[in-house]
Amino acid sequence: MIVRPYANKSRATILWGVFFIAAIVGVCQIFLPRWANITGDANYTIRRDRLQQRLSATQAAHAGERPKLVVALGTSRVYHGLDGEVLEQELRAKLGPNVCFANFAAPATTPFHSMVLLGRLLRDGIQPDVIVIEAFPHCFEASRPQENYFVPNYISMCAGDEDWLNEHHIPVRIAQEDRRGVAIYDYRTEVLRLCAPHLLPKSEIKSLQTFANTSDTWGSGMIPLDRDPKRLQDALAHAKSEYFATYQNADWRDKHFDILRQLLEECHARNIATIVMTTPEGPIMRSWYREGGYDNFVERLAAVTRGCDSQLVIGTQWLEEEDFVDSHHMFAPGAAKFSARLSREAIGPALQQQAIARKSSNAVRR
Amino acid sequence: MLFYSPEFFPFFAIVFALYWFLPWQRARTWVLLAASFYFYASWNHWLALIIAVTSVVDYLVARGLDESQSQWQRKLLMGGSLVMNLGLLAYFKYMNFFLDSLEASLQAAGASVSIPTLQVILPIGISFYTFEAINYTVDVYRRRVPAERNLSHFLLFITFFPHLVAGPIVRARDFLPQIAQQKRWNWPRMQLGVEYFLLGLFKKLAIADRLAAVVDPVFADANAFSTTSVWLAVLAYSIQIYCDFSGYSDMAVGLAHMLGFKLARNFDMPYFAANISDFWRRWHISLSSWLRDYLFIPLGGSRGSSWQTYRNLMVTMTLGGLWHGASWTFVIWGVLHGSYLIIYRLVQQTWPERSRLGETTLGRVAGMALTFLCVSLAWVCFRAPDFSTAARVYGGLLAFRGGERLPMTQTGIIWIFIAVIAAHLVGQSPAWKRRILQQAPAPVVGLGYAVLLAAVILLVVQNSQPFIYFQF
Repeated sequence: MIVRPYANKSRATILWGVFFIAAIVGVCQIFLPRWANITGDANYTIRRDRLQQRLSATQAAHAGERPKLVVALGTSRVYHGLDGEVLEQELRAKLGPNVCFANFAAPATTPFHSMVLLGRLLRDGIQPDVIVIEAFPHCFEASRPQENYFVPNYISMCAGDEDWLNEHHIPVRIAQEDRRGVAIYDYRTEVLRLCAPHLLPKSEIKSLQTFANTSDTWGSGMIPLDRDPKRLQDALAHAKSEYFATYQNADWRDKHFDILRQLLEECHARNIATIVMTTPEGPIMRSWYREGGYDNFVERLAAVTRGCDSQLVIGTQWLEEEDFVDSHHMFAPGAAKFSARLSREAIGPALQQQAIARKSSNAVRR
Repeated sequence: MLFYSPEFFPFFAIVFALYWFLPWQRARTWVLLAASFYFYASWNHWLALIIAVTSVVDYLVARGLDESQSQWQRKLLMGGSLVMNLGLLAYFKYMNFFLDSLEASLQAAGASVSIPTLQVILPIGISFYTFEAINYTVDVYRRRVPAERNLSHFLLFITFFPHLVAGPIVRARDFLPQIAQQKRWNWPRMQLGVEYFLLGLFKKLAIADRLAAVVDPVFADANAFSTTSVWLAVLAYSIQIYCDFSGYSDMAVGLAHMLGFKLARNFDMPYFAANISDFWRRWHISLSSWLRDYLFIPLGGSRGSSWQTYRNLMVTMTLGGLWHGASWTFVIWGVLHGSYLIIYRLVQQTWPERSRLGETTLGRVAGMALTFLCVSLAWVCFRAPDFSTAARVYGGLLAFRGGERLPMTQTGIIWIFIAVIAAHLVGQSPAWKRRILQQAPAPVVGLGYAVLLAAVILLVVQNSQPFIYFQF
């Protein structure tokens, strides 16, 4: 197969080869991951890119003043439940037009994933003024797997995530047999996505066309109102199969409270105001908790938020059953109600406090 | 430690530097020997002891064969060596297979038995180095090669790390003389080594491992996939196993060249074979020639009647299948290839005018396509862990049904097929090879190496597979 070349040319070829290999390996392994800031994971990058565009546009429209930024982290309840348009309107009505909201919630995520997303936002130079973090009781329950893991097609591991987690001594578990199912993004996936997407496994391509692509400008996905009885019945039955047991058990364990606390402390250290909230649940779902289970959860949350100077919002009972698809995912009208109330009662005041705190620290510096 | 493991590169860099720094060939031999044992011991140091002991025994047997003039004494020594080598192979690789088969047979006959499984670790590369030891002692017995007097040279012949764990199976008469030769730094040879290594790396990491993502789900649950998907997976496996095994062989050849040794080519564009006989002259050449020289020909080869030839072909291919693994699916794979060879001979003998048709361009292309199809269908048994899996895959090929689609887009798979075919066409054409490699300026060729490596870095999957032939 290979033809024998001549000696001088061979030497020159090898030396040129070594030179180019060093250059290309240097670019691939050092430059791209560090300076090009390619992080992959379409569910994050698509929404990040949109946010950065909106921030630039808003800043440009307000004489270069940095917009106030509110970011939401949580599960599908937050993804479907925070109406970015309503929320921004409420905040702008109170605080002026220089406010932006972004929803980075993803289905099946836990405080571990919120910690990962915080790391990514900070690495990408996005420093929110307020972060709203959902505390979904199911995530804190003992019968749920305690391992910290990534969720294929919802939140995939990226370059930089492991270092961030190691910095905070949060172990991440990816079983060897799961590695092929988990799209572990680094610059290579991004380059292939640009140059040769057909060579990517379909699970990665599917991620590129996933829910973040169909989300709205603010990164949310509103559920249109549809009261088809069969659909509602099936959805509720599915929710019950997923959550009834954990709510009945209601054995809240430390691991995710610890990660939540670390997340809040990290934000506190960076002067990011935090709001920990429980999202609304319908009366049916609320009836699944065992006696005292829910109150115990709220007490544990309160202890964590007190210690980290974070605001706790208990929104569990804010909506009625007809506002939900399945007693916990909100229809669009329900999401609008929830978003408006959250912005009035929690996010708006938090932003105002942040603005005051900023002004005083600027005054002190002068 | 694999050739693409992170720990291999510093290992090879140290061995390479030390080897070429030392001016004395004897010292270089000891460096390679130490490196080869270290390489093998990185899997399991107890198994390294086994290979050392058996190699010393074979060395002593060969010395005895060389010096003895007594025919019965020579036969005794030869027999002893064969029993030791094949006995170890049988124990480590086939004992549990035999015991399971015995248990199944007894249970089928109505006996209520339960035979315990032996807890044995399969020494990596045992199938390869055992065959090398056998070819050496047989050649010494036949007085085709003199017995090697230098123990370190003989140990290096068996344990030379580029070919130790997955071939090519080297012949003593080709390799032993190279050990004694004083090696001089040779730039063209270094370039050849680098090219072989990079090409092998690309085949293995960029092509074979990517195609595994297509193949594995289908073989895990063929019933869930559409007929098109099953066909694509079967064809993809043909490419995967070729790129995996030839990739490893290329890396081994490249590393050997960089150390001044020449290993025989193990693959020669096998999927361009015009017929099944041609295929076996192009696929795993070191094994097929070993089977021809040490099994087929001693059985009588094609010297007897047609039936005797067919019998010899079937025995050789069946045992060749069994060599690959301790499983009935490998045996059936061997039987399939034996059947193909018999049918080919029958057709040649019965319709000689067909041979002339095969020499036309259309005939050649048709022959290639038919050979590739037959080989691909046989690979199903090779890949399937059991008969029920193979049956499901074969069923999926004929079912004409819908189902799940493959985890890679069909476009992606087809692009890979096209790339492999294009590489075959370039490889087959001396004019293209000259144009690309000899006439292109040095910076262009050097850039080509870097682009190939960059392609490997970009395309390597997160969870690389071990080499398929390591399990043999």
